[in-house]
Amino acid sequence: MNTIICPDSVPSFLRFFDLSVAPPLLFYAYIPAIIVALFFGFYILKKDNYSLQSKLLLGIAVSFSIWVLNLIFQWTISYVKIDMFSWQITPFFEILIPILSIYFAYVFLNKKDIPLSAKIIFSFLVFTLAITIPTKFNTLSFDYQNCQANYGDVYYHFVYIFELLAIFIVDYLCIKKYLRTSKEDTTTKKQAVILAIGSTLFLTIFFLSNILGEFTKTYQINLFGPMGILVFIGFMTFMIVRYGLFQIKLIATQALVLGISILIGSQLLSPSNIIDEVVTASTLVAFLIAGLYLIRSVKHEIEAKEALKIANERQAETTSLITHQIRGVFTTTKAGLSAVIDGSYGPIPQNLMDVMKHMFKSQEDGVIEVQTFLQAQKIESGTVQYDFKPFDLKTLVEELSAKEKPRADSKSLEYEVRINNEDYVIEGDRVYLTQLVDNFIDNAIRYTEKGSIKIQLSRKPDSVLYSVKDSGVGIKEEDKDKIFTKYGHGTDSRKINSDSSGLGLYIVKGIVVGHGGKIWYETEIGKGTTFFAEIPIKQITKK
Amino acid sequence: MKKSDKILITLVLIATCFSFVYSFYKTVIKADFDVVNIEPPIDSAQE
Repeated sequence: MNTIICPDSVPSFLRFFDLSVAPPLLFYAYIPAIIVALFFGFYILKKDNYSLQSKLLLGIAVSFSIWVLNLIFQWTISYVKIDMFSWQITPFFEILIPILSIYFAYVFLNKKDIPLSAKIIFSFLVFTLAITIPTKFNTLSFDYQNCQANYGDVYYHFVYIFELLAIFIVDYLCIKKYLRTSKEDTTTKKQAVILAIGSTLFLTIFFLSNILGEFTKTYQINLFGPMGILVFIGFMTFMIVRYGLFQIKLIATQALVLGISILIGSQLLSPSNIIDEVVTASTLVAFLIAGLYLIRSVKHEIEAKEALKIANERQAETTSLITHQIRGVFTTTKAGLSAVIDGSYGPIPQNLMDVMKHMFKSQEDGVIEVQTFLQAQKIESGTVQYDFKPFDLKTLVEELSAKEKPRADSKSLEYEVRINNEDYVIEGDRVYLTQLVDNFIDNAIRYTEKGSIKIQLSRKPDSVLYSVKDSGVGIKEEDKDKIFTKYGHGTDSRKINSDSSGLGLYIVKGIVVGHGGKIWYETEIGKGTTFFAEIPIKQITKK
Repeated sequence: MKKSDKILITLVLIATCFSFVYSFYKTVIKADFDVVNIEPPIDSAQE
């Protein structure tokens, strides 16, 4: 009774590639999928600088791979004792997948770690399941005729319920994020939708196949469970597109071709008749030719994209160089003019002094314009280096609103600053956030002819909300999509400020996104606009 | 990594390692588990 008698078992230990016993689908589909999933998981971990979300993604890939390998083990193992052990550890890896999926969804959507209370709940679930592995709560006995363990209460009342619950929790997180995201932030909304669809399909296929297979005792249904890994890979591809990892295509193609070649080639090692061996060898040769052609095509595509990218980078570098030179000229001239105005070269006639002052002002504007352009370029190329340090945002808002007040007063605008008495110390780059705070106020004053300006700062549990409301002309429907884009002017804004570069809000959006926050506005024609920026209190842990 | 995270991970890891090792010992080495449904079904035996 030491050895298994089931027809799907194999006669000797660990003969994975004997396709005459277990369904070929198991090996053809599962093993390359595991290789690709693990490969993608590790690659994203490295590319995303070991961020928390990439660690969780790898965690899902590893748990899923171990679970699937364990499943293959159950199909191929020959000994009762080892088979029983394999069945015993299955629920442990099975529950890790929904837990890590919930954890990942939360971090991906909210760009921050889960609260300690959730970590304690997750740890408690894993801990409880771990300590019940050797007990009758987990497995009651081994069914010799059916070659499977009879599961106890843990599986039927704990694992299954949590697996189903996980689907609802992930969807709840996605729906909540979707509803709380402003209409303008379409990227976040799309991410929430894709995550909801991807994870629901993945978890549903995976768990329903387990539940239906177990209750109906039809193990062909169980076989479809790991096909959820295909959805999982699709989901990871979405992540890759998000991170812009084009070169991974080549490595992934090579890994896939290699994985399948190994699988086909390994059949040659199994004892079989000459006809089978000829067929297998021919398949292998045909697959290798097709595989090499596929790798070559992908390589050409990547090279073309790389060439385009290099051309774009060179163009940007040239523009940057020219702009830097122009800034140098402006700065030198400004210094000279400043010295003349200060009287360093002796007194000059009043009419000449007026001309000098006018020239000085133009030079100053020129320097600002060039700096703005350079900053927009940095934001676009993603080369901004933020220096995240804790500082009080309240002090910054108070300082800048006080500085800008005389401008509002000169236009007879009602000027209100409302800051609730709470803690506004955040982790951020003070220099860049100064630009954000100032831009909102500056725009409000610039584009409001009469009425009021209200500056507000309020605290949320994990973020601060900064907003500036004006009673200006509002933003027209046709301008709404342009507001945060590069050179995106509103139709009316050009009439009021013809010198506007159209880069201010584009830069500000880059800064907010760089801080893991979000930016949006609400507007009504003739009544005014409110701009909002929500900045997280803490930056997500990178390492 | 926060101190609370380290404590939780350590607890879970210790429980998991202990449980896996003990399960392996109990099941694979000692064979301390029930085996049921040993005899083939009567109808298939008659066939």
